[in-house]
Amino acid sequence: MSAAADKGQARPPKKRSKFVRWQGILIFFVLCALAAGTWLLFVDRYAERAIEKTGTAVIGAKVELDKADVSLSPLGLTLLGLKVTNPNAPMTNAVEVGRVAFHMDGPNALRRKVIIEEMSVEDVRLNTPRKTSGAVAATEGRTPLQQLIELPSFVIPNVKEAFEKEKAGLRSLKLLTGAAADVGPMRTRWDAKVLELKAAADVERYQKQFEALKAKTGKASIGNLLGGAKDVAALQKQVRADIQTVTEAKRTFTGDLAALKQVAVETPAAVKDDARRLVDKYALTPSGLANISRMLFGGKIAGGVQSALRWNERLSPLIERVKEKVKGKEVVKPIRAKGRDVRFREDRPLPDFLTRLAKVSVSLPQGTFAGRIENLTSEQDVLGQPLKFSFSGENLKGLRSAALEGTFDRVNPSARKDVLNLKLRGYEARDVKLVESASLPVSLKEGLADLDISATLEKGGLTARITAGLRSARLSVEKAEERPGLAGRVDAAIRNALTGITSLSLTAEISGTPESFDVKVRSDIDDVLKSAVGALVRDQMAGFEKDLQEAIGGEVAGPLGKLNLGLKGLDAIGLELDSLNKRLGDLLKKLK
Amino acid sequence: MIQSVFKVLKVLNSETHPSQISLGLCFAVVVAFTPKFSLHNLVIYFLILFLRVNLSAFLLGALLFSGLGALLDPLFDRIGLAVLTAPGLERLWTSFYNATMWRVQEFNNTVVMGSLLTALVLFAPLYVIFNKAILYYRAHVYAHVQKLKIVQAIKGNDLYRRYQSLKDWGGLS
Repeated sequence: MSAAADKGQARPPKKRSKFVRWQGILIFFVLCALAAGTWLLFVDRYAERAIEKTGTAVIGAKVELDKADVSLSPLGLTLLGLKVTNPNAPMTNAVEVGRVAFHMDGPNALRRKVIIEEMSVEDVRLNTPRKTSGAVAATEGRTPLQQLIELPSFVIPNVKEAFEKEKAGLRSLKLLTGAAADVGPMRTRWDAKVLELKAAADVERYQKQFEALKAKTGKASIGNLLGGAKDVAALQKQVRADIQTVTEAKRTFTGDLAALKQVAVETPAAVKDDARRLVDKYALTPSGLANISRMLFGGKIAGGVQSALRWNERLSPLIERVKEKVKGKEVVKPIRAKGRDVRFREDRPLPDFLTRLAKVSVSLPQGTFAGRIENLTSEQDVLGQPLKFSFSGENLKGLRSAALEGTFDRVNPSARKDVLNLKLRGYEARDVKLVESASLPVSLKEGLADLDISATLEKGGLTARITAGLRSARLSVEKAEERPGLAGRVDAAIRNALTGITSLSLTAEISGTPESFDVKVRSDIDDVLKSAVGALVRDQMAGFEKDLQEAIGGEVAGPLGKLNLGLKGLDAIGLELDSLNKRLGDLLKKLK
Repeated sequence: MIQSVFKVLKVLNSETHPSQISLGLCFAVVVAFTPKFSLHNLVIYFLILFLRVNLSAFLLGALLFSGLGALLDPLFDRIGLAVLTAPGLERLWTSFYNATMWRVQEFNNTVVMGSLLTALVLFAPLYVIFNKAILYYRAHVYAHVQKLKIVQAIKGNDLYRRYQSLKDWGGLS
């Protein structure tokens, strides 16, 4: 074929597929590569944001991260500068971690399971100051700590103030006021009743009827005699019925009257009872003195317990995931996704998140503590093992040794059990404020303490025991406002007694529920203070009680007078009922 | 470089047959209803580029149906839960649950399952409906729309002229 012929022949058009465009494959892979490149560029920032957002939601206060570094081979994550704000003190970081590093199991990560064999947590610091507030939400409601602050104070109460405050709740006053108010209506009611009875059982009318019958039967005929006897019998029946009605009324009246008289009789005793109750409530009683340890240490202990409980509650979602059952299938809410994840039986069950071992080093002002956390997962029921942790440190600054260990057992979620044990030896306590009262601010200037704490939170019940021994102690009561009179003398006695204490032992027992727990504290201080101020308090008590009795007596005098006056009026009604009954009785005798 | 990008866009927008536009819209429904970064959507993205599907229709559809998808999430959650907890399907789901690929797909998430199932069920009927609607539009509505002043104004716009050079999906070329 010639070249000219070749030129003249048109080149056949390239066949174009009707359904596919082959270039699309190339475009797809180019776009995938671009997406992967972008992901790699931004994955660190994305991880950082995700950790901050999720952490903030779980803790309830700001969680911040300086840097997150995701590595793909081996798959892992390194976090730098993690700061967790204390939700109760937004200007303080509860925890600050210098570095967290771990590698994840790749195949399991594809199955959306984060399985970490070993995690390294370095340079953990507690309670570090923040430059800006880390608050995200406000807390509300009265806490057990606030309730404990309402302990009896050293303030010797003012009788007038105590009385005015309690007046509305005084039993004696309530009883008397009620009784005095009842007298008037009762009088009106019984006056009406007596009139009604007198109208129904009209003795004069009965007398006239009897006279008429007597005159009628005087004529001697059989008919008269028979008819007269029948009429007399009817009259007798009527009078007997009236006597019965009046007797019943008198019985009811006597009962009502007796109840009112009883109130009047019991008033002096009720006044005394009220005075005693107010004394027990307001005054520093000898029995109250026996619990001064609670006042000194109770607030601190309750505050510590509550703080621990708050953290336990906040961290709960991390160690116990909420699951629901739908048609027998376990359903969980994914932390960062829509919808719900339905779970099925797995050939090799593993939790969605598991750190088998985390090695932690905590830097405190006293020194470095080393510790380990095992089985950190939110699904202990899947793993079948509880979370365990232990931390310890020796020869630290101001502390000879410290050991903390515990377990969070949620293997069976319905029988959850958290156990914590802490042992501190040779803790050099300095300037610990025990009571921040305006009149008696007590602080521990110095002392060498050994402390043992064991606490268990099981099935919603909290039990804890704290034993502490303090040696070479120096307690001080700061100079504060001096109060006049007995209050000042009690303050001085307590001050002297406390400053003389050099060693003490303390036992605290906490029981109840996390929402409402009771703190019982006993220590040597109780006996010391009891002997120091017991006599003063006893003297003060007598006067306080007498004054209160007088105040209450004065308040009840008015209603009592009104009651007594009313009772006299009611006595007259009783006499009227008796008189009516007697007249009816006399008439009946005549009819026989 | 810009020339190459325009060339790619031109290729992707050259499919203006009603069936190609309808297919683009149907794929858009799947992507819009289900979570964007799911494994199945990777397959959809591949199909959109590989098959002669109108890309503009897909993008516009994805934008429009995404809002609807978000509103329907509670419904998808209920549908997904019903399907995933159906006793007759338990063995199937259990075998899926133990396979890595299906776990990556997140089939056991109620919203993923509900939305994907809904989108797949609607796929074929919507394809037919979209096809008929486009044919009707071209035969009866298109000419009227072109005469509207607002359309004239838009067509006079420089941006539109540039876009038109890529052959938009509503054209009759």
